Amino acid sequence: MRVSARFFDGSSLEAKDIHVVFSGGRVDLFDTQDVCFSDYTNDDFILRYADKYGDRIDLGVVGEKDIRIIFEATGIRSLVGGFLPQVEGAVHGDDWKAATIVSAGLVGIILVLGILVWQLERIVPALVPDDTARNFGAGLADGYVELLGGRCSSGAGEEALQKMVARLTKNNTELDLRVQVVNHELSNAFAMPGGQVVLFDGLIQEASSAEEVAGVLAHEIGHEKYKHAMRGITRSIGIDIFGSIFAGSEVTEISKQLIILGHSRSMETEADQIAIKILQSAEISPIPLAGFFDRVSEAESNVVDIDLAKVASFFSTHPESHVRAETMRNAGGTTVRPVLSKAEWQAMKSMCDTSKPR
Amino acid sequence: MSFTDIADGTGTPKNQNETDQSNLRKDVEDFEFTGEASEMWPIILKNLVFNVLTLSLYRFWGRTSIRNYIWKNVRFKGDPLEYLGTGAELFTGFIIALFVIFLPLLGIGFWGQTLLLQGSGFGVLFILIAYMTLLFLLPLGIFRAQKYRLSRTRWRGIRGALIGNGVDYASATLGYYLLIGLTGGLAYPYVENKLWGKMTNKTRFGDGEFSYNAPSGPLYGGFLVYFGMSLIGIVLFFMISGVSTMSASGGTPTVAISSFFFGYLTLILCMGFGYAVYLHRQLVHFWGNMKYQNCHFGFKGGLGDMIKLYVGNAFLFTVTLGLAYPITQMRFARYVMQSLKMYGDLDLTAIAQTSEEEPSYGEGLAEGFDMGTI
Repeated sequence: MRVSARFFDGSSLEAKDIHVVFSGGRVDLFDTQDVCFSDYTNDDFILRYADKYGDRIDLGVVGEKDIRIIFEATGIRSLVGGFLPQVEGAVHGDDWKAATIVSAGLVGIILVLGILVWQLERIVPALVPDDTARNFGAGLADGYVELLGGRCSSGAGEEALQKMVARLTKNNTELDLRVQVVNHELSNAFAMPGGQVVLFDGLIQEASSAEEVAGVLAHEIGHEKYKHAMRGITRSIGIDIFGSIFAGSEVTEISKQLIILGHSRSMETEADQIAIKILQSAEISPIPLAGFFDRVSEAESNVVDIDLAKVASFFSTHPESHVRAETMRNAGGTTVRPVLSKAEWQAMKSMCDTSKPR
Repeated sequence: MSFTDIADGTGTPKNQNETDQSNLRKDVEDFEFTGEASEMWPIILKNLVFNVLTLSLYRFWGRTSIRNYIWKNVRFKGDPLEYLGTGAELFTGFIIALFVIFLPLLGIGFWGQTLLLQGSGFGVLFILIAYMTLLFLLPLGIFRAQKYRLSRTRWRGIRGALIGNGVDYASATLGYYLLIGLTGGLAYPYVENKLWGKMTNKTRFGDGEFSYNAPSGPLYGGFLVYFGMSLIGIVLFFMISGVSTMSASGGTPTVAISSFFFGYLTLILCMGFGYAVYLHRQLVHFWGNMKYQNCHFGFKGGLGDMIKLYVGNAFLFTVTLGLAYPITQMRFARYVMQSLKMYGDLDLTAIAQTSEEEPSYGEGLAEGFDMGTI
């Protein structure tokens, strides 16, 4: 078959008029003097453009990006398609089939990356040297303590605190703990990387006994034992990086929060379990800790009605407080010795008295 | 080997191929746009399906499909543009920019915050560096995206190009935007004009050069209208909503709220109209003073048509919750292509392929900033 066409090869925007001859597997291009100037077979051509009527097709050549051969005649697409089957296919390959293949690959990438990020929190904290974690955590803890109201460290109270810490860690001596009390009215405590634990004075003031404080401390030690802070940071960064490849920052932010919530609650439960073991081996009753959770639970239900509290607890970083209180009460203990003397407990309670007013 | 002479597809042997071709290639405007919303919707829906399935990762391929469609429906002298970019190029560009630029910057910013928390003043420096770099990367991203798109745009086998790496463009932009701030916004038309010129003068098609050297003076008429309409809008806003505040002591809250609403609507309409006048002047000025080789362009689109286009686009975008975004882009492309004229005798034989290198990956920076490019 012999068809006329316009030819471009990147040397000019002016068309050269040519004739194209299809025969067997060969495609030969002839100039106006009827001289063949090419050496192509059928497979050398790709479809670059086709109009919707089948009256125009633009062919390109594999490996020669600048070349275009433009055919225009009624029904030319099916005609040339008789020789070059690729001409009947889609231009650019952005049809449903191509999209399905690409998407399948993308889902694969998402799965592999997702599993990798999931595993990251098990790998990274173990790789960080203890010294590094300790320095990092100490800097953070000191910064927060400074920000929140300063450290309380009256001599007798500090001694009582260290006595309590020593009692709780006697079976976990590998833990290099640094516990400090911050002059802040909130009833709270947190564990930072590298054994950095911060107790709020408000928690000590509200506690009905030294055992209750010891219970909370045991819970924070649980976090330290499993490097929960480091795992939390790793997970958060991992999810941030993973999430940043997706569009729609609001949606990814919501999913990120949900994932982090789920994880942090499982870490809280884990720390509660360890707290029970630590308390039992230190001969301290976990029941006062139940009292602490009861108070938190009461505060929760005072703020909002019960239904709202249930919704709120679904979005909370911690499990439901009354469930945790129940766990502590059920744990019980064998022998029990007081953790501090009356005088020591008083000293701990008045630890922040000499500090500057908050 | 037997030759069958065919030109019109009916199988009739003939020798006058040339006449047959010219029948098909009717009298053509220099610029035409042939795209239809009805053909765009299936592409949009396909993209939507695969974006949902891939949690949005398909967007690079989706955008490529949209570009393919818009490009091939732009015709110059009867021949369509081709878009040769691929989704994989956009995806790779994005991943590279993410890991080489954005995440490290995020890390520097995060580290700065940690240092600040630990009481070290160096934290401020870190955060400042991160922010300054981002400010610089924004115009650089615009330039690089344009460079990629031009390099992937072909017409009759020849492609476009943007010269250079964009560093000077980005630094100039930073300086210009500082100028806008220092002049309380008065330098805005001047800056836009300068930036359009900077970009245009680096633009090539094949080895032919685009150029733009028009002064910014003619833009200030439109800018004055924008400024005046904004002032009028503010005055009207206070008059309409202020009347109700005075009567509010005796009137009802409903009256106060509705008059505030109408006052606000008046303000938006005034400002919108003023801005449209400026934008239209800018289109006419920018395109009308642009040259390619020895030819110059003209922009014949009317202000009324442009306002209709923008109102229609805003409506389309809103009722489809943004899904019709590519269609609003296509409508804009149609308006520009129908308005664009070219004057002078373009010597087509004199233009050959550009020697400027093609960037290997696309638009990572721009994607990182979430710029709404098509």
